[in-house]
Amino acid sequence: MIATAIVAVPLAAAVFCALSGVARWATIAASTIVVALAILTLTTPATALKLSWALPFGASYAVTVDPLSAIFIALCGVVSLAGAAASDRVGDRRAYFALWCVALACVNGVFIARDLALLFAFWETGVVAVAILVRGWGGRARAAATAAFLAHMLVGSGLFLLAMASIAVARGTLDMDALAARPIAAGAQLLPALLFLAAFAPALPLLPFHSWAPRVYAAAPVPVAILVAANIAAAAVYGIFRVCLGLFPDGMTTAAPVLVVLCAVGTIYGALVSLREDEVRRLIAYAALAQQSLVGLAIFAATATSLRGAVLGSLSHGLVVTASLLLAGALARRTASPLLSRAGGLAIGAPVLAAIATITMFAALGVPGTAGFAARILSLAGAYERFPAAAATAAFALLIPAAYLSYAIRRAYHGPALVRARDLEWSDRFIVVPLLALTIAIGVAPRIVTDHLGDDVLPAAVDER
Amino acid sequence: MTLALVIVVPLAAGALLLVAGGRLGRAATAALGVAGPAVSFVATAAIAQAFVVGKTTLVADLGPWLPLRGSDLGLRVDPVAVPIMLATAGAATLIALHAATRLGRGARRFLIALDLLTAALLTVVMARDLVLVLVGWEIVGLCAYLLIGHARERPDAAVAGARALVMSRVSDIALLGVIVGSLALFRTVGLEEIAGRLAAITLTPAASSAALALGFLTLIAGAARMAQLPLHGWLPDPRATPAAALAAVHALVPVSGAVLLVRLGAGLHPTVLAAAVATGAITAIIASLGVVTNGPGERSARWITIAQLGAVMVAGGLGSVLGASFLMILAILTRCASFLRYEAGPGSPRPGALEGLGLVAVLIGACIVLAPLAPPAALAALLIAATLASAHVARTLAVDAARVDRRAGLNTLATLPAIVSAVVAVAFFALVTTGRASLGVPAPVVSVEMLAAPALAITVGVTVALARARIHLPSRLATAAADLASASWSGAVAAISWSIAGVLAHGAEGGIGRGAAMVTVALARAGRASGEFAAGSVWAHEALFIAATAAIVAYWVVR
Repeated sequence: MIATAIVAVPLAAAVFCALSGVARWATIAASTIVVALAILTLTTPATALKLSWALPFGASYAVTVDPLSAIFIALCGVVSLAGAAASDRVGDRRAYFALWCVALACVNGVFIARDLALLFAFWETGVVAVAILVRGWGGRARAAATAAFLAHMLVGSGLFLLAMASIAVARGTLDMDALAARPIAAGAQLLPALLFLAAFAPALPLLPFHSWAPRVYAAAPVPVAILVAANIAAAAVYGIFRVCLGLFPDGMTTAAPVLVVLCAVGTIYGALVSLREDEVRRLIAYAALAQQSLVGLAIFAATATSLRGAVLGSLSHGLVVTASLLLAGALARRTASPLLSRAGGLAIGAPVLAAIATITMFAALGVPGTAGFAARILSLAGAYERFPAAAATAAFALLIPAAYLSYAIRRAYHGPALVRARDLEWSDRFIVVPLLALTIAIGVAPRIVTDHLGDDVLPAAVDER
Repeated sequence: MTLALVIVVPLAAGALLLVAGGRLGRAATAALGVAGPAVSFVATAAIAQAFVVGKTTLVADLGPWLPLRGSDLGLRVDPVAVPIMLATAGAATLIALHAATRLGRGARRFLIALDLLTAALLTVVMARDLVLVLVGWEIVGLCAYLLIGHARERPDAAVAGARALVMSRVSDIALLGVIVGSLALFRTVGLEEIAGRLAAITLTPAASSAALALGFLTLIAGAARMAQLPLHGWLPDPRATPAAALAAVHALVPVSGAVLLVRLGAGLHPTVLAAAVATGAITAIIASLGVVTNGPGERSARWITIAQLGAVMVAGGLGSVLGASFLMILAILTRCASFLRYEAGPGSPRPGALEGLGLVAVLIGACIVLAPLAPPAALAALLIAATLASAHVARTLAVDAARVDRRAGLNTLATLPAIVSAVVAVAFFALVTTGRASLGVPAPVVSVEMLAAPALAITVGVTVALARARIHLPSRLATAAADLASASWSGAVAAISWSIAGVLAHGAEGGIGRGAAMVTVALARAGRASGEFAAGSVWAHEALFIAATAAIVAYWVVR
């Protein structure tokens, strides 16, 4: 019941937004309700719901909310709240917020679905809704960005569809719990695992399939970029947890060495390219590649510690990238340019903006006291048990973000005042500061998240099989 | 409870200052900023009083933190840590007073960073497991970045802050490696267990290489934090940083490195300990050379700190816990005294003989305390460094006497740590000569020869300095050490990574982008072509349908 409500409320809000004039407030209300429902399910467990509708394929409307889903739903609700609150300068508000609510509903649908076809339907619809948002409301080069985004996502989804069809033919059911109860023979799991991974890998972003990210981050309006960077990425992480690791653990174990190497290279690669990026949003995109590669490393290493580190890592990434993109938007409004080199000495006129930017930089670095620290330690400690070389490489790669983040802050905010700008508005402060406060809360007391991640909630770790 | 208070109060003060913004007046900001370290000092004094009365250890357990074995929010104080905590909290209070009264508009930002630094440093001293040590460690590095880059309108200050952040990150990663390695080897991160089991496996050849790796990572982390050569480049230029920031960075930040070496030193591999002694000795000599060749001026301020920390590193490498903590306390107090004499703004330090005296005291103290333990080469290095330092002091005194400046004398903030350091030195000397078994100090080990050698070193240095008006050393030597720092920074770190990044950003990413664009365009063209094909020919759909049906039928037949 609650699970269906988590999807139905944003859908109803979408319809409401399309018809009424208070679209932004309706979206904010819907996001708040979603977060409240998610936190409610953490305290009182929800019951599963299953309605069969397409028996020949074995598809059914099977939904439930377990603690892992609830954590991710809460994250996406908070991110959507922040993004909707920041979308007060868009045109065509009814269509925009209707699409926004549809995207939120679909991402929540990915989190609650217990049936492969249902998950696929929600994933596809979410991707298409976000693509329409980018194409319709983006800036320069939005057509190329949307084309790249759709090309990567749809090819992956096509492979997902292929694998799903073969599973439906082979097993006769698409229900995830039924499939997990009787897994496929260990030797035959590799191909389905990789095909299902293909849908989520570009969204993670995993290294060779990341090139859509800088274009979309730069071309989309800031709130839509937040949606892509935080929500779609979180849905991809959850999808890998549930579908790839949950249903095909032995296939993922076989593929793990290659995937782990890709992630380790991704941390270094993303960080190095960020060193030379001048455009702020592209810098954030490559930094996101580096951060999410660490999360991917933790997922593919699949030990008990690293899986918890991966969940904390996606939480931290979602919150930090939202705050970073909002601040990038604030910076661009003050310098009338997306480039870092056009800014300088903003701290003198805008000290609050500089202070918030410095704290965001610390959160991105994973300083102790922010969620990134707990994520980093758990991910590396867990990954080192199985893949010491890759974990060591990722640990060394943590050196580079200090360089490019401190350079970015120094270039934009420190030094003599090249740009005279007003300080951060109160409306923006009310959006960014709670995100940072949440990051710090999770960092100081990671137990509020890890207490819910018992061994039955996460997919089985490698050393337990 | 008191243990938690020591850490929580500065943290809360800093957080309050951050959140309250500029709404507090100057007086309220100053009061809040100083209250943090002051309350810590009072709490530490209470803890010290408990130890004097008779307790042997104090433990506080605040519950589990991360889902890792051994990682709890646990604090532990033993008698060794108490003097260091007292010195740290006291120095932090004095620095906060200096900043609050002399820094103008930037005092709030400074006090936030200083309060955070105090809390983090005391966490490092009191932590019971490595993860909590890493927490304090990283925040100390972060506060060094904030303090060094405090005068952020100046580009050179901002660059110095960024450089300090990156160098501190090197030590963070080394310590992270120690944690990950300990988890893999011992399945725990508790400090006592690690030290004990590390000592045990060092003896077996099988796990010896793992112990060696862990030991070297610890050494790198400690050496980077204690500004040993060649990782000394992060200490800032005195002309760009305010005096209170210099005091905090030179006096307080290296304490974390010293504490790590003292805590884990018992279990480290003998090779690593020998390397630590060698590093400390070489650093002491080269830094003393740097002091002498840079002359009486603010340029020698960094080298004095580096030389003092070299002596502390030698003590840590020899396993002398008493010696290392005593030398570290002396270093904290003397550096604090020397920098707090200056006015607040950057660029105002005027040197005096006080710094050199502090250096000589630390080096001579090291010779005396470490004489029974140290190999002769290390002792000789310390003695040579003491000679050079005495020469520097003599020359500075001569210069100062010639250039009398009566306007600025010692102020209270600097006099207090100077007097306390003198008292500490005398008391420790008395302790070592008489020996108190109850405090863990062994029977007197000071002999006439050991006193004669330092005295001879001082006499030689002073004589040479007074006899020659200028000490001619090749300028190459003076700039060599500085060049090493900037070379290792710009060559290894900046240039290589910058060029690789350039290649990747423009070359690889451009190539990937072009490839992806080609694929996208090809897909779009294929879509358009098939659309035209389907729209153009009337029979296209039917033809496709028949072809698909034939394929499926053929598949079934062949199967």
